[in-house]
Amino acid sequence: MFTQRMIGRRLVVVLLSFVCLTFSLRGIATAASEPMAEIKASVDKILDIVRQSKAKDRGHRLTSAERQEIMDVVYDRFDFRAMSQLALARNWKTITPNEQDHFVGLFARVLESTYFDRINSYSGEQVVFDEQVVMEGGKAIVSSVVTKNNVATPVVYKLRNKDGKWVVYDVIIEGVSLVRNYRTQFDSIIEREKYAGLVKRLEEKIAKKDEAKQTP
Amino acid sequence: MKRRANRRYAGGAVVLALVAVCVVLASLARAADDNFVNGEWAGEELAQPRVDQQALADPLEPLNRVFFTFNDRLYFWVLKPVATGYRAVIPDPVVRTCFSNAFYNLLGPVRVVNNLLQGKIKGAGTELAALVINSTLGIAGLADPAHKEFGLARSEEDLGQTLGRYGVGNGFYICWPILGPSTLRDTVGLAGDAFLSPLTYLTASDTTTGLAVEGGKKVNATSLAIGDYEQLKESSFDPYVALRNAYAQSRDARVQDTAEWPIRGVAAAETAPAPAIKAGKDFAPPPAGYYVRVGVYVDPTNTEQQRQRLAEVGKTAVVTRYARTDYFLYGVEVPGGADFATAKHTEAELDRRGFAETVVVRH
Repeated sequence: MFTQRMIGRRLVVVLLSFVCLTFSLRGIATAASEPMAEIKASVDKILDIVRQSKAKDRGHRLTSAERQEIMDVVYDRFDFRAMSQLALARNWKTITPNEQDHFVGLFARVLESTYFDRINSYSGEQVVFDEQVVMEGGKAIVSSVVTKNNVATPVVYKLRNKDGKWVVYDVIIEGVSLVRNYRTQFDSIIEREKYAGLVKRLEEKIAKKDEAKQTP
Repeated sequence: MKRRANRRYAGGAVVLALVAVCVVLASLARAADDNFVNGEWAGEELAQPRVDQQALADPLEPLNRVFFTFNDRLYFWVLKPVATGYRAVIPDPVVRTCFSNAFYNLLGPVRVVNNLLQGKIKGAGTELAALVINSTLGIAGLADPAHKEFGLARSEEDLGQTLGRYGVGNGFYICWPILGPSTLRDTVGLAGDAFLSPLTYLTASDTTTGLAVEGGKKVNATSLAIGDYEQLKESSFDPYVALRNAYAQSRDARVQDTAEWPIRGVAAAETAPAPAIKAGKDFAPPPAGYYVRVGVYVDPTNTEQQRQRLAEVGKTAVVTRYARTDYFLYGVEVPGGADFATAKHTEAELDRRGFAETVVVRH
């Protein structure tokens, strides 16, 4: 009788642990699609590449293989199309779909080179992810703190869920949104020089960056 | 002695007059638009993006651009070479950080007073504690035990932020030679804060030493930030506009207290879960359903302005109060019906009527 009861209890425990296990598995499954976990994975991967690289000895220059590796992570996580739309804002609708595609490519390359400038000047900054808020309509905000020389800079990512994957469409550094900053610049340039003038400026910037890349 | 007191009096009068100008300008320029805390682009919004409702006014742009170029030359021709030389003399960033700590500590009174002016008792307390600890244990502020060892939170407030908190708008953008980006409001703030800065009194009694110390402060700060301005220039297409916008955004975030922890301000306001609404005398939680939030403000005056704007287009808005840790946020919201789709429809309608930064929320 007593042992039967014990067996019964044990069974309950086993069953319970099964239930718990399936619950925790589900927990893991949902955790994998959490925005903070996703952006953190990307940032950690990039930091790993930079830290393992011998770039410091070569005067802060990553090899093309390392650049490509980082680029793959960046293009996977950043929604350059959404960023272009948001940066062009009302002007986005005034250009043709072909021009839109062309613009996305140009803007992505500009952001890419800006990003590499930052990476090249990397000197042991620590990145700590802080918290996330998932909002209605498939959007989320993730905050992080970048610390260097005891100066903490808050960096916030705005993400949207694109086909089950969280992608970044804006970065806010110390309260300054990257996309909004470009928006005011693009707006003022288009006002003065029309859309063609803006494209020319983007192309010039990219050409200048490519030149700088080739001459060490 | 008496003359100095008179002069101080005159300075106060000038500050007051400028504040009055700012208030008038702010009411003219619909300051509310600079105070958006929320405002984001939902899925559909990504397909039809909009431009910022209102940028910082810049009627002095031609003159400002001249001073911007002056500051640019000043940086590359004078400040940067001097700071680089200085960095070579004192290569250890820790030592230079100590100097910048000391200058930061000197402005402690400014932070204490402005916390008080904004009713932030806790902030005033921590800033006062930090001032006392760092001035004594921290050896005249060179070390920073208040934040490092005691873990005190920073509450960096200045008069420009205080005025902003009271609903004073930016006025317009000013790019000062040497001092750099500012606005009418922040310039008034800077003048007011100068009364609390020991350096002002040093300069008043001994101009040469005072200016030398100010110069040293600038060089030391530059030496710790060489490359930042270059990166801003590198990554922008119109550095003047980029700097102006970065200043405007960063100051707005500071006024709204979302600069340090944007997620706690912005995101919390955007999602604003129902339990966060504290029922007060005039703020009963709204009936359940979807709402289109048109703005979130710290200042009830801005709330009222936005509500009137909505009334002008025939929309009745409700004001929802969200409790934050030590203050309230007021959300102006238009009832959007029982389901998400209807709310989205209302949002699109408001969008067409010029309310750019809207978000659908549910209570």
